[in-house]
Amino acid sequence: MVKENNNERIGVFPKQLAKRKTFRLAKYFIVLISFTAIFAGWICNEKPLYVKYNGLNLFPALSLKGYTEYSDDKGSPKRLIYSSVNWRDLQKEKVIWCPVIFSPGKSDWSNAQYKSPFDLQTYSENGAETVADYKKRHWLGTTKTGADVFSGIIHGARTSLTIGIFSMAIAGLLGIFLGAMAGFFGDHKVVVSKSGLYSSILLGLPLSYFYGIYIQRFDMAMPGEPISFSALQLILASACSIYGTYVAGKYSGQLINFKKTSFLQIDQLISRGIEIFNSIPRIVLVITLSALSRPSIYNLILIIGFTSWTEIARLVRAEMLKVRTSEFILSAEASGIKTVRQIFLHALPNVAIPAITAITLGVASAILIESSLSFLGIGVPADVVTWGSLLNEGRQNFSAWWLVVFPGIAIFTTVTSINILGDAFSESIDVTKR
Amino acid sequence: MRSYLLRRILFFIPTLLVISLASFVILINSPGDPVERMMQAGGTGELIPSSLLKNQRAEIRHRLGLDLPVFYFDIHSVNDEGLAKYIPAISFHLTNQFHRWLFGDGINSKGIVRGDFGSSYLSQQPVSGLISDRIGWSLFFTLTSIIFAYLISVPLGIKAAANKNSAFDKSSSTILFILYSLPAFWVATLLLMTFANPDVLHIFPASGVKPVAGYPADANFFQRLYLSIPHLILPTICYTYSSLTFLSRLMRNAMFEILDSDFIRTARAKGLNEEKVLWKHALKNSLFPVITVFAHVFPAIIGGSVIIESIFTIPGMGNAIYQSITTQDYPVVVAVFTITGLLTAIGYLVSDILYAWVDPRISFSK
Repeated sequence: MVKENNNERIGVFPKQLAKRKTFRLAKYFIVLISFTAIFAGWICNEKPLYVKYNGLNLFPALSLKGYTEYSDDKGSPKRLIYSSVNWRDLQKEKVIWCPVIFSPGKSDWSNAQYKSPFDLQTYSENGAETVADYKKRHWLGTTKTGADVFSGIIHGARTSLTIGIFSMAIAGLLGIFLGAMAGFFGDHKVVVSKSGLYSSILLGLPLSYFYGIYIQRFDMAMPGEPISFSALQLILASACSIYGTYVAGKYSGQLINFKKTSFLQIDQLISRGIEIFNSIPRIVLVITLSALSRPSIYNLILIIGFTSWTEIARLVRAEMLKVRTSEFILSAEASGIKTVRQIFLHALPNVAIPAITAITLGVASAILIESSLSFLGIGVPADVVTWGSLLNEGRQNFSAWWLVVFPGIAIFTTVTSINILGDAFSESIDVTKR
Repeated sequence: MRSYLLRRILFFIPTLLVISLASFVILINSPGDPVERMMQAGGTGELIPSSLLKNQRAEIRHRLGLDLPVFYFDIHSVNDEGLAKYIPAISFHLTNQFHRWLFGDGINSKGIVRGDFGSSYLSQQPVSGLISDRIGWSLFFTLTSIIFAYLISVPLGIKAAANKNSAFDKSSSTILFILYSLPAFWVATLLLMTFANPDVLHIFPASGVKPVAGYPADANFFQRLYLSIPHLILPTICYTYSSLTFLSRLMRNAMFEILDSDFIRTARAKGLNEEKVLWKHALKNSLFPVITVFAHVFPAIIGGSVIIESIFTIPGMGNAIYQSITTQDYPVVVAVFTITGLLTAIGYLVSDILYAWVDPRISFSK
């Protein structure tokens, strides 16, 4: 037995090292891609970083306002709108361009019709058209309308990571909450009065619908305007009405001497709910929902977030079941620590790593879903350039290989790095897998 | 075990209920007025007097049952004016849109329980006919790819597990890990770009599932299959590879655990050769988890079919949902949604029953 263990250790060591190397690479890549996502607007932008125009010092790429007001030679007031002005033909005194001088999705007609990275590309500034040098080239080629692919990829990282991270924040909160509830309370921990339970199901749920959702239609804006739905009101109304009817049901049951109690099977309820939810194929659900809603990144985050919590919830529940029976929780319970404190301070930190693993892997799959959706042209607005939408343009013309290869590599490397990170997390918990 | 099976099958009922409710909610919340859509599609372009148009509209609305209440019960205010709007009231409706959608009204519609999903906005044809034309190809690809995935992943996983930490194990797990992160739509596009591109290699046709000229009239099933094979290879690769990676990783891990167990040591100790230990004693026991994840593979493949079918223009359900989304033909969307949900729920049921069959210790609350 001892001998086997030694062999194991010798066998494992170089592998661990190799793993650590890929892990470090993946980590660096994720840092890099997050950096490009955050600063995409400064790396690739047709607006210059700094421009001196008419004696004014302007920072168009950094400006949040988007325009500047000045007076021309005759003294009449003028307005320079950054997004519509042609910066190349503007009579500038001084200029510092961004590292890449193209915005995503902006057509460049002199390089239209799929210019490959190796084709002769032209560049026009101040009305004069020249052969573009290395700094003014489209490094990764152009699309049919001449839009720059490199810039699209850099800005696509922003869209992908935003959707991946924020949707998983929603899914993580929901999944950890439900999974922790199911795992910690189980089926035989919460005792409720039967009359209270019935009254809160029969009365409390309809009331919470009425005061949480139905009543809000009276406060809504004019027809045609977007519905401003207050989630806070829903949560408050349902908490009040469900708890209120429970208490009312409990004491009115005691009045007529109906004092039966039963276990509230939280684990059964949540686990079965997850099973039912899983029996709808996730991609079909996401595609259907995003087809019904208005295409926007915000909606996509909500849709992906609310459809991908089940995996996290299942993992957290399974870990919580183990933690719940451990000695430190039992001793915490014995020493009279409140349940809320037990969950948050004692139990939850011990399920943090599995939860983080599931969330990390979830980010990768959310990025994959987002790019497949935008590849199909569903869900993401048409004017937002994403990795998927670039690939979709490549599908129209197979001779434009750069439109297929580069965005694909971007998706692949991002997803792989995130998966490697998630794998490393999961192996740090599961010692048997090492 | 019998009680487990009974409870598992009973649990199928709420699953169906939730799937049907979700589909119905999606259907009634789909943007646009179905009456307008139907009139646009069926219109001849002639000028119809507005009064007649109004009557016609009301008539269609009545025929579709859109003038009925939505659900069995309805929670609303006592009165929309004054303080009374904060007082809730409930009313019950025996005839309603949901009931009619489920069971039909006996005259115009038969309800989805009898396979009637209404008619498409675009073609005015029954959706069920459109689906039944298309479900065959989807099921064909799903099942063939599952069979291929199992046929490849099981030996691969066993070989990797038997030679743990060997070069084969390391290289195969690296390749599988890379394959796992490759997005299916990228692989599909790359394959098309390379093998169905007149400029590079023109080995396979780029789209469709049968020859452009169609099948000869007297061809039997196998001749048709033979004619279709060049069209089927690329899509099958794309369908197979993602579930393949998942399955072989699972197989490898399951085999690891089994190879550590006592009965394998006994088998080796009594002098059985390694082949027999692996392929007879270990294989049987390590197959259980792999077979039972069938249910997890199935929805993934159905979901992936939306993308793969629309890239290869396969006339299946995935392509149907994609096309009907782009043309906003919501009855088709909802029908495909319901049917894929139903198929997946059946997949879960089958895999749970399989699990109970191979491992009778299971209980429902676990």
